[in-house]
Amino acid sequence: MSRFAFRNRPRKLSKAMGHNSGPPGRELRLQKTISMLLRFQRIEGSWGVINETREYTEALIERAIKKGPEDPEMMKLANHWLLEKDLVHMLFKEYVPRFSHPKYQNQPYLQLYKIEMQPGRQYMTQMGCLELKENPWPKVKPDPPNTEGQLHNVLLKAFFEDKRKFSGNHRPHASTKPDFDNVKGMENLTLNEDVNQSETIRNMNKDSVSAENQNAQSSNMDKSENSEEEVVDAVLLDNKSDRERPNTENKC
Amino acid sequence: MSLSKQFKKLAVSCLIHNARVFSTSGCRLSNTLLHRTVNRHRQIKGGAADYQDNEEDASDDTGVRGVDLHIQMDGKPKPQKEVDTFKEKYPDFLPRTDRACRRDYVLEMLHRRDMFRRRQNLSIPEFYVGSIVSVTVTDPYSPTKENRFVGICIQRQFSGLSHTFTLRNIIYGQGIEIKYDLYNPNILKIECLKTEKRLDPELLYLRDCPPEFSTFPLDMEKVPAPKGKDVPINDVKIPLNKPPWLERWERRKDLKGITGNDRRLTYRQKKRAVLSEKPWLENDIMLEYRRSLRDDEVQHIKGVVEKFLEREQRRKEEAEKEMAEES
Repeated sequence: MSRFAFRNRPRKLSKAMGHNSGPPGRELRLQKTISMLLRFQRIEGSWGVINETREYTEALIERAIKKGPEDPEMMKLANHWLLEKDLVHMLFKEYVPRFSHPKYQNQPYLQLYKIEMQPGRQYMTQMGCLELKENPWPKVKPDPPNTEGQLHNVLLKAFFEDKRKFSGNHRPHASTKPDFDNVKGMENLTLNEDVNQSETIRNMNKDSVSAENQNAQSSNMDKSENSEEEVVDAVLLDNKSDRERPNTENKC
Repeated sequence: MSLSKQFKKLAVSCLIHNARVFSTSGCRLSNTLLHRTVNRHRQIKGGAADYQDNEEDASDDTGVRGVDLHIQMDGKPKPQKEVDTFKEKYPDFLPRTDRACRRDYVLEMLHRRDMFRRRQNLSIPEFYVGSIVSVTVTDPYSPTKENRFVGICIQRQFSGLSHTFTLRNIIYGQGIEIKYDLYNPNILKIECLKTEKRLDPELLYLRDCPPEFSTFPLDMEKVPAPKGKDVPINDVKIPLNKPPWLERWERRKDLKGITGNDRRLTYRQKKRAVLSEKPWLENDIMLEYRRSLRDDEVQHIKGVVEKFLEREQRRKEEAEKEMAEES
């Protein structure tokens, strides 16, 4: 198991610095691309070269984090791979603290995207875009929309939550924290058959609501009736914009 | 091939491809696991089910630990050093690194179990390449039914139950090397007469060195090892014999335990030497990464081994107490 995916065999890259350049040409090409990547934090190129640089930079940064700048062998290695010497300082002062965060323990430091084939090129090569995570540029891919509040998702979540509750302890290893309660749009929807019953419940007096609360034990009906009045006001008086609310419309 | 055979072959290859695609890793590159599988195993109380030996207690295992930074906050000894010492002390427990794609985690676990069982019956001492070891093996054709050999450990190869070590000695002027399996049930006793290390991981150059550096007396007495300190490193630099040699030692400039590494080459030999030089492999990070082990994996294995050793010690102490009570 590895933190980042790597090929079991190295790529040959026989035409890295022109035809017939061989392994030393491959090494020079990789040195150049790694230096460019660490300077500009986002780089495009052909698929094979980009993938190889991805593997090498991940390994290099991991080793820099592990060994530190005081190790003479590490300094030699950084000097060898990074052609411009101010990039060595950048590596140890900027990138090592950035990727020392514990969330990168099982996460790669670099992100790879596939780019559409560009018109006007002589050869139809696959192109890729490689970037370091947490870079200052705008995102390559936009964030996907938040579909948590959509009806089918809400119902599915409720179904699985009920199944988990009433299944007994078949899964003792699962976590006991349900994500069920975090969706705010849930309380707006009723589980009753009548569509107009929500309005009738709103028009009821508070006394009848409290009386029912005293009599009955905790059941789903009571919960929805009690919480609805409070929640309806809260939702309407919220100062959130529409973007922050989970969209409850099923936009197909 | 007939049409039906071709279709069968296609169907089988599709099945295999699908099986590989829908395997536990879920992706084509087999050296990664999806984050959800990692998190699922991390939430299990005792650690991952397939990564753990069921003999050990589940409550004590801490599971996967983080990568250690070079910035150390506590005053304890660096865990990196403990990991390195463990790697040198128990190389048979480390998984194979030559082909990471051919690693079988279940096989490693089963090997570890059998290795622990064998170690309950035979006490295997701590020895390194360069230390002098004596081995007694059962021999049905000898009068004493035993056979003892003493020599310097040259090489330690392979991982798991197939771990081997070679001993070299010169007996009546003849150089002899014997390769033993560490977990061979024919071995009756292993004794480390002198624990020490050398500057190189393999001492195959002793074959091309004068014989006085490979002779050790067969009735050698045990030299007590210094307790509490690091293993002593023997800084000896051995001169090679005159060429020709069994291997091209002039090309091995990384060996530190030799002198006389150079020889006069002909014009043709020099040209061939230049062709075989590969300077791009010196700084190849990915090559080393493919052959390296993750630190938290080694720490997990270390924890398992230490647990076994603790239990063994407890059993021995209890057995001694019982013997003392009886007598």
